[in-house]
Amino acid sequence: MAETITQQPVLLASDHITHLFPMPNGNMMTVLEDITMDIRKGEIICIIGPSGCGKSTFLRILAGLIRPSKGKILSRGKEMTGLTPGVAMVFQMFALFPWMTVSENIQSVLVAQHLPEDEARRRVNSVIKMVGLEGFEEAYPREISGGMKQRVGIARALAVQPELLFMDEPFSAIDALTAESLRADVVDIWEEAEGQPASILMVSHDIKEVVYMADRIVIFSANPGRIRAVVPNNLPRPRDYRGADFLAMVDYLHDIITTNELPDVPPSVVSTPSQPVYEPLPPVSSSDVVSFVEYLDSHGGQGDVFVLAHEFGKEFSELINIVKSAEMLGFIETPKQRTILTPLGKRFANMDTEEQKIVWKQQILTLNVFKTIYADVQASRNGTMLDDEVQERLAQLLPNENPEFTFATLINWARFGNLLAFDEDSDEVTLQ
Amino acid sequence: MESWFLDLLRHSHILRWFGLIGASVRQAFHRFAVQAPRAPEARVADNAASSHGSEDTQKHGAAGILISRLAFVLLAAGLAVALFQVVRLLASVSSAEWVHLVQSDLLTLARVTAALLLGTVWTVPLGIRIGLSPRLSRIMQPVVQVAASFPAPMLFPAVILILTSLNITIGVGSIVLMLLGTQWYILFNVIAGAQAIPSDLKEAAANYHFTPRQRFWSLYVPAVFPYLVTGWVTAAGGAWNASIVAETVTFRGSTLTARGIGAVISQAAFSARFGELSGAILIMALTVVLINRFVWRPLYAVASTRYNLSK
Repeated sequence: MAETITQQPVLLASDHITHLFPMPNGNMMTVLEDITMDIRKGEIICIIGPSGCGKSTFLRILAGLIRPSKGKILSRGKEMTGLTPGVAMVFQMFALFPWMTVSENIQSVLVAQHLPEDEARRRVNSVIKMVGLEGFEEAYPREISGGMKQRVGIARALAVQPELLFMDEPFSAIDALTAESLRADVVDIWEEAEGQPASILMVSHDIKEVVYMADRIVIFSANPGRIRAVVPNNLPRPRDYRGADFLAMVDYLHDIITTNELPDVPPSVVSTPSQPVYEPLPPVSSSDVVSFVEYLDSHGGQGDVFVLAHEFGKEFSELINIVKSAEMLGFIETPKQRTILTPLGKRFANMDTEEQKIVWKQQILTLNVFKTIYADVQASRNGTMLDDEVQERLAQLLPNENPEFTFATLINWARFGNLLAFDEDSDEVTLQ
Repeated sequence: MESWFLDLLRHSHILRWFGLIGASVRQAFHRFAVQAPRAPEARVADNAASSHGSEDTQKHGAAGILISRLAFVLLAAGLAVALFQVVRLLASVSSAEWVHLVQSDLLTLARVTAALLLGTVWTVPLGIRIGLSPRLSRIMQPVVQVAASFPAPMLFPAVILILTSLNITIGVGSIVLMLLGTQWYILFNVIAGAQAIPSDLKEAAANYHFTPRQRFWSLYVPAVFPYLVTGWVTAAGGAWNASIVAETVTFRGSTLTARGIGAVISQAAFSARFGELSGAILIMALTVVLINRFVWRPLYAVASTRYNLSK
């Protein structure tokens, strides 16, 4: 379909549209910046973006309801200054006249068309049938549901036989189920309309809706509103909200939109700061950490620190050190006062001791203290360092910590992970 | 036993007003006589609480209740005496005089209606024009407010001068005098109504190429209608009130008098004909109550359903 669309004539185009809005403080806010896009004959285009991206303003600029600060609107190549011809609008909050019945509302838009009376009546009846409003002709808007009101809004737009149907978040004020059937109805009407409307431009913030409706999806970013990406959507119709291709498209759009709004910091920047951070080691034995992780696993995988301190039979300050250690090693997470096993922690808890030692080694080597000391020992003569040498090094790395205590923890953890050995008689630290 | 008069009173809420007045007098008296002077904040809080009515008074002491009941009894007694006197006065009015009073009342009713119509015809298009344009609203609101706050009777001599030079009688001219004070209420409300028209309705009218005529009659007028009703009610009250000063005007030493209930009231009061005065006031009050019941209330009902933009 996309191949044929690009050969179709351009019905309406925006040429470098920029729009500024005066703020209460006297400054100008840029609502839209440099928007250039076109609507071709026979397509459904959807504009999607976060609130405040100016998409509804852009729709009104294209319709000629708002004059843009800069840029041009071209209708079939001709520059427009007033209302854009051939455009009929469907509004988010329906914009029906409450003092008119359903059929009077539809009829009201035909006055300017100067149709003979019977032709006008025929037109009203035909659109009422088209959108399924039979029997509601004499009802007032307040007497019918939101979904029905929007059917009137759509019928009213179709009554003028527009070339372009503009829809401003038309289904967002309607319950989900009704919205789903209305979308299908609009697509059906468009497919059978023979050029009235030829094309639809819809503004939305609902990704699924956009994937269901659009041939082309224009993604806006906010502050100021800009075109971030244009994604063609060639899924065959009728589209299935639960189809694999459909969901893949939804995910794809979701990724584009969320990366727009929450730019990911490249991981390299985060993990390699210019100065490596050396982690003070809490005075905790490896066996305490292991038994804590196993305890947590056997008690639902999570718990409150205060409750755990009581249950686990440790003094609170001691438990905090154990928790801190387990977190440093990636076995648990501690949001607020809770401790929750990570997937790694869960696996670790269910391993036998040999496997635990392998994982433990791997995890302590993620810590810069272990990395540095391990490298030092490896680089030393005979792979051996003296107790004092190691402590001196630790004092350099962690000037605020007691090197003796840090050394004790380091050796305790390194022994369990089969990383380093320590001979108390010779005071020698060696590779295991 | 049925009484059309009692039914009328009930429907017109007069009795409820009396009840409310009684309650507030009771409370005011209570506050005045029983309570020690208090900080202004406490009094403000008290005022806010007084809308809760009688259950509020129960909180206060037994002595307070006694005093307030006593006050109420005195008030009721006073009212009863007054009512008796009024009935006696009314009995002195002859049937020919009653006919005259009703005729005068109908004439004034016609003037009030004419004043409202004239006031509507020019304020609706202008008010809509002002309300739709933020720029015009900014400029015109203060102008209109100053004009409205100007005491109308001060303009009477000048207006009468113009009217007499145009050979317009006071019978018709008093309509203009009534208009001077009351048209602003309509204008204010129409401006407010036009400002409140939802932008999507205006956009729909633009997008569907409504003709100016169609915009006026199919969008603006219905949209401001509820506001217009409020304006009419206020203006009508003002016009009845103004009839007392507008139907008899002293100008260059001579008194111009139109036939109307307002003129009757002011002349009867001036020459202390209390029977006629109370009869005229009764007739005027009844007219206002009836119009309230049979004109304004139905209009309010339509305004709050069919012309309600929030539904």
